[in-house]
Amino acid sequence: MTAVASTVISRKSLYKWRKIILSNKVFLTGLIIFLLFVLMGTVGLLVIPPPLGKYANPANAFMPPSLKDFPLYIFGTDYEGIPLISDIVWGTPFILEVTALASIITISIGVLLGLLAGYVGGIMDKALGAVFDIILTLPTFPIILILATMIHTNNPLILAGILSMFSWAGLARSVRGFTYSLKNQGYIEAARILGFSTRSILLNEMIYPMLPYILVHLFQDMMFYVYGLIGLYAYGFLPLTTANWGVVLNFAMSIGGAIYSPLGFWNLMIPLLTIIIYEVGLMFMALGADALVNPRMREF
Amino acid sequence: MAAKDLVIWIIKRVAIGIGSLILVISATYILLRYAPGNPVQVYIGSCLAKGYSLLTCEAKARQVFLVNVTESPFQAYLSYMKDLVHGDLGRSLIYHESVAYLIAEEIPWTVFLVVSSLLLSYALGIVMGLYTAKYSGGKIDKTITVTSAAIQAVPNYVLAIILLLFLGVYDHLFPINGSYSVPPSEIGLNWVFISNMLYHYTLPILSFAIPMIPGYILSIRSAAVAISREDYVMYARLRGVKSRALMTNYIGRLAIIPSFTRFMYSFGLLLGAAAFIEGTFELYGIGSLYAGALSSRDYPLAIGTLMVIVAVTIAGNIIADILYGVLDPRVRVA
Repeated sequence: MTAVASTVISRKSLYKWRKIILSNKVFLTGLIIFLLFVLMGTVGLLVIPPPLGKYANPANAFMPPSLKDFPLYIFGTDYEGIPLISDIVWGTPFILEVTALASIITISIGVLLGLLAGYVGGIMDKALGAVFDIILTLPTFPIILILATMIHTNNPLILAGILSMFSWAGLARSVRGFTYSLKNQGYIEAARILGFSTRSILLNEMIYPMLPYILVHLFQDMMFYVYGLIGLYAYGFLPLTTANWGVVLNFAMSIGGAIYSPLGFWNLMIPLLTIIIYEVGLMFMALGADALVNPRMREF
Repeated sequence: MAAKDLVIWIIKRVAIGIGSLILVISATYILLRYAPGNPVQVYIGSCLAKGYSLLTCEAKARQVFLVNVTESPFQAYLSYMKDLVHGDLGRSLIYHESVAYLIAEEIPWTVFLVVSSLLLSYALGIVMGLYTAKYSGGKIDKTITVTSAAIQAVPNYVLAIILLLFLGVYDHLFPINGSYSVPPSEIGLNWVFISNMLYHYTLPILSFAIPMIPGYILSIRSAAVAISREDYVMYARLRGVKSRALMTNYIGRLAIIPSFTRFMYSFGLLLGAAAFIEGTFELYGIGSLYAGALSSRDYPLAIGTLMVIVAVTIAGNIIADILYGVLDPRVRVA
């Protein structure tokens, strides 16, 4: 009987979530932007040719956007004459990969340690809470900078590890607070008395209601990863032997001299706009997910 | 009783702060010492390639860099920490100057940049947040929130490049690089120098400040809207207190409190991002010093700079929490 009841609840709540997401224009916009980037990093690779040396031709350098060979020159060309659309599209998978790996690390460590601190309590809570607080007072970005420069790698997993090294602490602290307040709620106690397993209580009764909060954290953290990753490449703190938007920006500024030549306008603006649109998409998802949490903001 | 608690709380925070500082410094020192390619190793390598013996090369390196090249990384770490306790941050391997001197030379520029960006964004955030709080609900709420979010999402170094491009390179409204452009004889606390410096720092300050303003606007606005529904504000309004006085004295003073911690905590974030902004505009400062030290593997300078950044940030956070308690009567009681 309980099984039937729970499926009814979950189907009802799934329907509810779908309705909320569809009526939440801000979240929907962010989601569409993000999905377009995912498409660009997967299907786009099949459509757009890679930025190979055969396109490099000084005569074609810094071409403005044009409809020639549609869609190859739609963004113009970079300082070497390579179509910018190839640079951007083939630079997407790396960004998506690092963002995804860093998110997985942050979410798993953050939720696990947060639950552990909040649910077990006692000495565990005190110790973990102190660790969260210490990490949250550190200036994490300069430390990330030093680690990235010293380790100097393009390995997505290691980069994801460096970028998410401290960001799980914020999530862990929120999850801990949330768990702590949920733990003493009547319905959790009732579930415990009814003999539900700890696993089922944690998964269904605690993590599920926390999901929107976790999502808000996730999107904000993703914005930070993109900020850090592209900054590290654009300013030359990481080896420039891979393809991503930061490398495009770095080459445009350092080798191409795009800043000081009016010709270089598109070579700078296209990667900059790409970064801005990606960040705005993530921000809108964070803002929209906030509305999922906060009924007062559901009018959007 | 309360004062005693406060002192114990401060001592605890400072102790935790010093502990985490030591942890960060130790970890990075060991990492940097083991990482290949620092200037001493490069020097010894090229000396060996010239055909000198290892002993001669080490002796020469000791003369050039004034470091003990034969000790193990762990011994080096111990002696570094010992010097640190005595306030000696070591010597830079590329500038051949004391690290403390180099940091002291560069830090005022960065503090100026970061503090003025923070103050500007906080001031604008307060004014715009309180102003827009008058118009709440429905469409306006939505427009303000969405626009703010979009502006907030722009990374500050991206904005820096865009501002440099449009206002510096194409329109020549602002200088494109350097912290100042007066002859060295003019440097000092005089009007010519200060105005020149402000002119050079306009774009860097804007690149830091603009993405931070929306956060303050939203926080102050939502606090102000919530406070304006309180009974005492309603009573004041019925008593006939003018709308402007109501906004500043009754609502504004309380509404800025929640965003105050954000204000203080941003300090450490900006010190890190200073490496990007100062790089874009080729400014003096601790950010470009740090970036240079990192790319040339100048480990004493890199660690010294990192230590100053970490210490300043932790101290800022402690002061923020104390001031927060002073400002907010509810925390003061608890």
